[in-house]
Amino acid sequence: MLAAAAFVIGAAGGCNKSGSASVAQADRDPSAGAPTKEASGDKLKGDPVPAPAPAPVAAAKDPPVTNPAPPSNPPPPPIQAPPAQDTARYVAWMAQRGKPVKDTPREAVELRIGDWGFFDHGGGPGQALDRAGLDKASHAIQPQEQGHWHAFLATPGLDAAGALKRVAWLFSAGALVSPDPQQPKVTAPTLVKAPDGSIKLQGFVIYPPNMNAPMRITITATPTGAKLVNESAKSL
Amino acid sequence: MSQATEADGAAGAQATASEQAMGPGTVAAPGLDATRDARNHKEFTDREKARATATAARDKARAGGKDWTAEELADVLKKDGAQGVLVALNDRKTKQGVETLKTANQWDPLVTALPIGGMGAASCTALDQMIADNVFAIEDAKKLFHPRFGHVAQDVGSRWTQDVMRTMWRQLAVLPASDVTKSTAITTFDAIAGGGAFGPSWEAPSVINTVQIGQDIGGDHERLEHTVRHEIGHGVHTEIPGPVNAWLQNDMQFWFTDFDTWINDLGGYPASFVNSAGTTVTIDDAWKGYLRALVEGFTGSSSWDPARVTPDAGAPVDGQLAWAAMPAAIKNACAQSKSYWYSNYSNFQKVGDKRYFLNHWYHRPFTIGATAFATIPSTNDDYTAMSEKEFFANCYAEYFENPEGVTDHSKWGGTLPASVKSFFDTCIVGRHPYDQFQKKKTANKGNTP
Repeated sequence: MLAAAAFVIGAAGGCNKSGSASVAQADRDPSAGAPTKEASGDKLKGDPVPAPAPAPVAAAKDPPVTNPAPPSNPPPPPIQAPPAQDTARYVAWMAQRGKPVKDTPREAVELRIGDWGFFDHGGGPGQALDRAGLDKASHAIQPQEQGHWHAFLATPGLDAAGALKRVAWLFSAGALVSPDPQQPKVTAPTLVKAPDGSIKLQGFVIYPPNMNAPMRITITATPTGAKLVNESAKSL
Repeated sequence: MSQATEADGAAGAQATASEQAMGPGTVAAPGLDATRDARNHKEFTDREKARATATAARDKARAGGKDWTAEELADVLKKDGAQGVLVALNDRKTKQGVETLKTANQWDPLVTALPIGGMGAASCTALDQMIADNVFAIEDAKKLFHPRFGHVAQDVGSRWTQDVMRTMWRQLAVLPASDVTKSTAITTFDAIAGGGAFGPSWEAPSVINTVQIGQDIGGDHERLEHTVRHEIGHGVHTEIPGPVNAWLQNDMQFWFTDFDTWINDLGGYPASFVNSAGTTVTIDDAWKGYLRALVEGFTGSSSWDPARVTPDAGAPVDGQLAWAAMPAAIKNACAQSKSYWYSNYSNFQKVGDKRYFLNHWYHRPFTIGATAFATIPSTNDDYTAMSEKEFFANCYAEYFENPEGVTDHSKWGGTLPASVKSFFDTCIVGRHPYDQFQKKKTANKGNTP
């Protein structure tokens, strides 16, 4: 089996939110079981945190009752909406290239870094056409040697694993960001800036349909161009 | 490297191009059977050596004849047509003859005169041999690809390289013409950057209809042969989705479904759960929708990974409590649908005789039936478990693995189970409708002692 880190969308943020919800829930849950006025008001305002109402307010006001109305079932919490996509610049960029997007443009929001966004389009499940990374200074990278690779690899905050994940995504490939005991030739990715200003990314990816055959990709980028080299792990 | 090595291989004792580039190939990658991998590698290297020997013999024979003149070639063209010129050129002084035609400005007209996808057997053989022997520069090979296979070979994200074109060509030449030259599902053969390859999609034939071959194969021509067959398999699936999908749905039960059906097949929703306030909450339609959305939100899209660590990651406490009340089979089906889910196919949740998983590329729940599950190892590639498309494409690649099958169909089939071979024989090679395979299957059952 291949080891690779999962792309985790907002997992850390989600955990924080979960923690907050837990506190709110406890605050609203007096041992008597009756909801507070605040809780009721929150619910009307559409607070995403569920406000369980184990007993109707009327029942609490008029005890004792012999045949109380059944408690209302608490509704489920709202599903956390994904971050909004910013596809307008991709649509404009595609139109400039003479390939207007006629189906649905998408942004892989989990790949955003700095000014860079990563986009594709398609008309149905699994369709990932014309993948590209764009920044707000009109730099673009695609699954090919030509492109502003130096601008991308120089992005502040971009580390080797993050760079490899984004490169692999452009090629619809999988990024192997950790060494794998079953694949001894697979090593962790590196991102090195040389004194002459060039930047070299090297790491292992797996290209479909040969997902059991890791390839080492090396991108050496200067401000004027880039060189992409793929080598089979078996040949190293 | 490959070119020089083929010449070396003619001596009989030298390493093949694949061996030089890839090593002996005795260590199988994870997901592959090492013994099977080694056997396949030996068969491949044996074929490489035989090809090198044949090339050396043809080169020697060609060297012995007299040079061509423009007048002589014009006479052949007049008498035997453009295809006749190719046959004649293959016999002697081939490169000199091509140069003579180019000098006389007759090369491009000759290529243009070849029938697109309608060349005869003799001229196909001559052309295939000249490509195998690296007679033509890549630009000429690309031009000749169109008449030979009925489709244009073009540079898209990269440029066709001589060695990738040569390996693809020889593989295409030993597949059924109905799947390659006469395919209406494939538009073009595109050279792309990287090591990946992509084929047409039966779900989007008007949009995804090219065969794209990554040119950066890292010297692995053995794998490239498989890749070419695999992508042609996607083209066949797109060409005849009726019988292929009927087989996938009925016989293989390797198919996708909607999230609600998938959940219900795995045990359904709990009747209730106890929330963080200690209240028993009924799982009504709203809660069912919520739990379904957790599964859907966990399922990635055009990705190799789940969209979240777990379905309930980041959910409020009551959402997590509701998820905890889901049947163990559903939770396990999600948990086993890991990054690169197909590589974990042997651990997919089983209910009855089906396995259940989530596909993070197509954003769909899937099932795999017992026959399909048993077929996966015979392809020697766990990527076969990726989706119904990859299952068919890898079965296709396995079925047509032996190039000798093009002249003796009994050699096609590989190690696939008998029922899978029967389907391919009837519906893919024979192009018969699915119901004929069903009738044949019934008849076979009756004849089985």
